[in-house]
Amino acid sequence: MPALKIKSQSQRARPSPRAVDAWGWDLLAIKPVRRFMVSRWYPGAFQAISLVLFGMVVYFGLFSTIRPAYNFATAVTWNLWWPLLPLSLVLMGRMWCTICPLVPPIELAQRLANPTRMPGQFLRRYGVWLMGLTFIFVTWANRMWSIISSPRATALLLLALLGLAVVVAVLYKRRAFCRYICPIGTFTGLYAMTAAVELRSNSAATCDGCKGKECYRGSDTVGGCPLYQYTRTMDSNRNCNLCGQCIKSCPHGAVELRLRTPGRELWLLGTPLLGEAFLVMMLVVVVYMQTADMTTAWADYMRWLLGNTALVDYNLAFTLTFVAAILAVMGIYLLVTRWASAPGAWRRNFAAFGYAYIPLILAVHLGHNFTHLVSEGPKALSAAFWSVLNPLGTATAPVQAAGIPMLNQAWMVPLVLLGGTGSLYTAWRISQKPASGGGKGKLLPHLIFLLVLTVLFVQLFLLPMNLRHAH
Amino acid sequence: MNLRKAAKIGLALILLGIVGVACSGGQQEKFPAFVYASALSLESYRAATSLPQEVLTSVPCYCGCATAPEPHMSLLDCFYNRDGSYSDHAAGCDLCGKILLDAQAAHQGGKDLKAIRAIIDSKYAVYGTPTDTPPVE
Repeated sequence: MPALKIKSQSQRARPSPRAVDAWGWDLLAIKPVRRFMVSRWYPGAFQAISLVLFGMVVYFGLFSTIRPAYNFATAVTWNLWWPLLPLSLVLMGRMWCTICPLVPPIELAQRLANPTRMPGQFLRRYGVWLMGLTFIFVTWANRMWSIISSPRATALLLLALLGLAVVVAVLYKRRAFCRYICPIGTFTGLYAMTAAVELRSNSAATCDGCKGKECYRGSDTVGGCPLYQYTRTMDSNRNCNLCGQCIKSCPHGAVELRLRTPGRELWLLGTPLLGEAFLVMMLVVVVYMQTADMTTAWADYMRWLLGNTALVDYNLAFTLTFVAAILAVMGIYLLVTRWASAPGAWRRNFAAFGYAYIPLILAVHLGHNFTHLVSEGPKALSAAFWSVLNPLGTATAPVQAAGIPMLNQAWMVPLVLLGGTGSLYTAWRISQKPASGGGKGKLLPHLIFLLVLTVLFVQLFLLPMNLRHAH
Repeated sequence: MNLRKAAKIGLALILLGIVGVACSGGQQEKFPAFVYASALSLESYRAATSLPQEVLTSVPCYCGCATAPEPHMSLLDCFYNRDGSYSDHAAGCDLCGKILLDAQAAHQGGKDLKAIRAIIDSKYAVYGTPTDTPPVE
């Protein structure tokens, strides 16, 4: 194995876990949890299950009925997995990324190709932007080609992601695709930062004295961290997928899996990134537009746009709106951070305060997805079973023509308000850090922007929703 | 030219393009707002207005509207109310739109009503009960 560089931040002092969070007790002290994490079946058994499900999604997507409401591929992917994903991130961090069905093919490809290169400077520097671009592209493509309502397109999208993941796996060691390119990684990393669990080193002194750095490099029997993390310096969940390899490989037992106050990482983060703040603002737009799209106000807006401009093509009008919205939100955030920052500290302010907006977006995303899960999940489950019993999709299914109410205002609005409050609190905590780049008393611009966004989201959920029919 | 300068120029061009499109005069569409819920919806209502009515009356719909409290008789009822105004049914139903666009493609391909009907029946029979549309003579 070529020499692997570990950055000098290993010298940075770090407080003991219990000193920073009263909740921070080690889950690995519970014997069944430790046995589970170090078991040879974890994560392999879960990967095997998800790989089988992935195979079924691709098979049914390509060869079974074209009816999305009755096809295993669309039902399982978009009505079950997709709504549950953000919830899993809040509860368990990026654990999904460990059991992702793309992992076994990536590992197989790497065993065959045995790549020796680590990701270069370009990927390390611009990976976060690449992820943002792939996420924007998939979001846009979904709108253009209605991927979520097409079993064939769903299967092709997953196969395309698999192909890309394998190509990257052949080029680079470990999981460069998951760390730098995967479109889902955009928000799995950001939302995992709010998780109630974190995997960290429990002893700076032990790690500093460690010669082998097995958590990063791997041992004779266990590979190194797939996402290129060194446990000693890790201060964020964004690139930890809880695969447990560092727990298995550390000869000193210096790795903890501890509970923590959800979200505290957002204001304690030592390495805020400009690119991640950009991703957060992009998520503001994506989450807003995907919800707005389901309201009657969206149709009113499109009617106005197509009736009063030279635009005739609906998809072009959507694309321009999407681009304009991203530019507008980015522009406003830029002004907010210019106003809020101390002289010469704009970049630090832009990066640090970006994380304050995550609780609000997460709340909207969770509420939106969970409502889909409640209203469509049972039907999706029955569709999945029906699909399995009818693998060629030739039998006639019972008709479902009833409209599905898309969102429930009664619990969406309180959830958005809770998220908004979490964001305001996070902004205040970030402003207390000298490294946040804020001028004295300059928390105000962020508070105003957060309040405006919260009001806009609440107002969105008070609008009448379209009824859509499932087939 | 460095990357930052190029990005700024690109951004300015995009903004100019958006402003230019927004400021240019538009055509007044004659559809009600619900038609604009999705691209498929708008496209299919546009197609519905351009197709001869006998195409819509001779093509069945398979979306389940045959078993609705007021059963539809053909694809025409998914797009128009009995009084001739636009119905909002097809705006929220992808299947009605897809059937209509397939019928339009067949019609533009020179197929007669009987052939259009056969194409739609063979493709969408898997969706279940069709409307009680009279057979094409």
